[in-house]
Amino acid sequence: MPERYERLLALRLIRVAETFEDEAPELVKTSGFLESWSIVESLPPGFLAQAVRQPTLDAWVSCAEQLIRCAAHARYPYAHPIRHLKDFSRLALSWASLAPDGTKGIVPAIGRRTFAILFGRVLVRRPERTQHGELRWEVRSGALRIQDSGSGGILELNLSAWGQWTISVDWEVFQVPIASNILVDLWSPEYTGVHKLPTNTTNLTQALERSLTDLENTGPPFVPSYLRCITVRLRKSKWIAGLGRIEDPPQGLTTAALLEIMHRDRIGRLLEILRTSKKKDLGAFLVTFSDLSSSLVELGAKVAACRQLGTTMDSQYIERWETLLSQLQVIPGSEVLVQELGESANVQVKKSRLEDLALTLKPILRDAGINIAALPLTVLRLHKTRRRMRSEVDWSTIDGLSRLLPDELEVLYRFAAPRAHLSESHACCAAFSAYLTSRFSASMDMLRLCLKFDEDVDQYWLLWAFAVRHLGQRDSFAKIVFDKVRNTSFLCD
Amino acid sequence: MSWSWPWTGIFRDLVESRQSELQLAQYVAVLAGVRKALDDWVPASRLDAYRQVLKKLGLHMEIDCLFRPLPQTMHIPGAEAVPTTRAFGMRYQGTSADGATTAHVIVASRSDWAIEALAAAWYSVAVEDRIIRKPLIDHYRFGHALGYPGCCVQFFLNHNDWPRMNTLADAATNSTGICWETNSFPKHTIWMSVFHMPCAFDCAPTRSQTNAVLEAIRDLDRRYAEHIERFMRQPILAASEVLCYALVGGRLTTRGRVAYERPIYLGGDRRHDDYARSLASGDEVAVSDGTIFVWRSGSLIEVLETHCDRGVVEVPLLLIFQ
Repeated sequence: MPERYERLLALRLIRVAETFEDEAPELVKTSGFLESWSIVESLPPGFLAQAVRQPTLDAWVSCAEQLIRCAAHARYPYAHPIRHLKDFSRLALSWASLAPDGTKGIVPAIGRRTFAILFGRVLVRRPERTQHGELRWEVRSGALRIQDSGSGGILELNLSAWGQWTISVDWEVFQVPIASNILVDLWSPEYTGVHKLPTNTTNLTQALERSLTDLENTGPPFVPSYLRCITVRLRKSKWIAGLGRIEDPPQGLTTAALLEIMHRDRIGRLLEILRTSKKKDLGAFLVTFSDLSSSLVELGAKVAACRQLGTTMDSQYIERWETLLSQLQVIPGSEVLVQELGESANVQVKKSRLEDLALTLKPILRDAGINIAALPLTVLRLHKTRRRMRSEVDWSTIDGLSRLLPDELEVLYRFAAPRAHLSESHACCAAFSAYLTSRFSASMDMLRLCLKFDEDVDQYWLLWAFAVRHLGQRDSFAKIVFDKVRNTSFLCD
Repeated sequence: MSWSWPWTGIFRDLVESRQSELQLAQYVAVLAGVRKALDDWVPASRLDAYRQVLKKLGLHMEIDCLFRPLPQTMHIPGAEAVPTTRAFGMRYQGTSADGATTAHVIVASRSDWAIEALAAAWYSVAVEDRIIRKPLIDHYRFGHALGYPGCCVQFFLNHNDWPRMNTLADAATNSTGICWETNSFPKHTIWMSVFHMPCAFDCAPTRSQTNAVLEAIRDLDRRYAEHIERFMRQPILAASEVLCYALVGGRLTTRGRVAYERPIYLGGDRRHDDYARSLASGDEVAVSDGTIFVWRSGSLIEVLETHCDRGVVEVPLLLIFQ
């Protein structure tokens, strides 16, 4: 019976495959992804239970999701996306031991040397990198045969006794060590960037086994429940927590992110032990991990608790949460975590105070006759930036409106301005459209109205400052921007 | 202070008053009427001398505000995403300032043009604990006020979205030829000619601006103009606007690779100079599958994988200018 994480990962894998097929049909053909995908479809049910033991699958799926999010597969298909789709063939190769007899596959080299087989338990390494060339593999009569198109060399592996292989080329074949049932993979290029294979890992494996045993005695089962494999770079090891088994995962935050937060201390201890084993590359673990501040841990736990209890968060936590998210966004490699936090937790947090922070503009735009279907969602609702927030002022609404044609902006202004006294939404639409059409005095008039409706909106104050700047009144601009004057009586001067 | 070029005439005046050899072509563009205005950062302590030079040249100046560099250790949300400058913005009050503080100035040949450009000239800077940006429309207004080609201003606004788009790749897609006059990569070096991002690598207005600027420079310093042109004709390897290199001595080989002698980083911010060591070790380079391959003496020595999933969309390009 597949566990929750495996099922979720399978769904995610299928979803990205379908998205690529639908939205980049030429790319999936050119890259050979379709052929590799057909191999996956032939694998027996339950193969994912083994596949998730190596982190490559999660890494591949997560990256694919990110490429889809930023639409790189549509805009730049022959850059990173084609390499990523070609790389799926490496996953298929690593699962080949479960493929039906007669299954064949091709793995483009694209500069890579290290290839995993047997679900990551064995790594094979070509002697040289090549830009072109490929590995051709076939499952036949209980053996996996891999041929290098460049050198012509052949590796043949007995699948019923996989410690046995024959090899006709100068390849390195490397068994990945296992400590307490955990793969210790420090070599796969997807998450290490390490080019040299360490030959002696005995000390590291023993240190890991000792530390895992210690940790087992410190609380709820940590090992092997939460760890199946360990790698060098934590940002690549989201899957470590993702493999966690908890009875009732809180809603909102992903299991992966939550466990990473909740078990920070334990993982930190583990990594400290590993680090002192003098494997210098493991230092990256700690560096990355310390980037997640303790406040994230604390706050993440509070968010999780709120979810579990079905309660909303206090405003002080909401504010800290938003600040934290904005801080997290600048940490290299944190994009995925931030995105997930943002998509799940933050969306829920924002819902609880929608009344306070969001101003709906959609009805005004619609009533003015604007084709709202062509506009980004950010235009339909102004997310107010409050004075107390440290985050940047959110210009996405007026920036989105700037996509409208001059005629449309004119129509919007003529519709909203006469009604600006009726509602903040009308006043806001009028102020923004006036600014975009260079009616700076009119925009200031409308912004004064906006501020009567809600005095604590930094978009209004700053836009007023920029409008006044266009009119050459630099002192007024400086008072708003540098002196942070937020007194409406000042606007009447 | 010693300079990297034997500056004479107005170049010398500008270099000495600003204590910088950069951006000189922009001044020539404004003086020659190729551009309406320019913006620059001048040491606040040198403003008086700088003002005198501008007066001598018949140029008008408006001061936006002062920039004081953010300490490396200071963290302000969003500061990492601010292009070119990471600074505190402060009101200019005519006071002298420490050596690290610069004034953001607008310079034009007509005072009304300087005022027009100033209105939209706000740069993203930190004020106390927050980065203050301007609305997108003001980038458009600023581009026009500086005199950049309208097609390039519009293109930049539509494509300047680093987490989702790569302006350079989009410009390449928009091109039918790769003309050296559109090479704005050297903008952080003394060999710059055009500053703006072209909408295409054969954009006619951009080529025209470059030729006009070079002609004006030639009148002032022929050797300098020749050197700029030589530099601009070199092949470029670029993954993003901050990860780009001139390939000195670069030439296309029969194997579809570019052979080169050494790379010069052009991204303007050494924090992003990720390929320096790898490229310096090699002598040939090629691009495919979102990957940069580097060879030395025929052996593949480095494989540099570009990424679209890490906050900045990287698309490797090898531009061989004609």
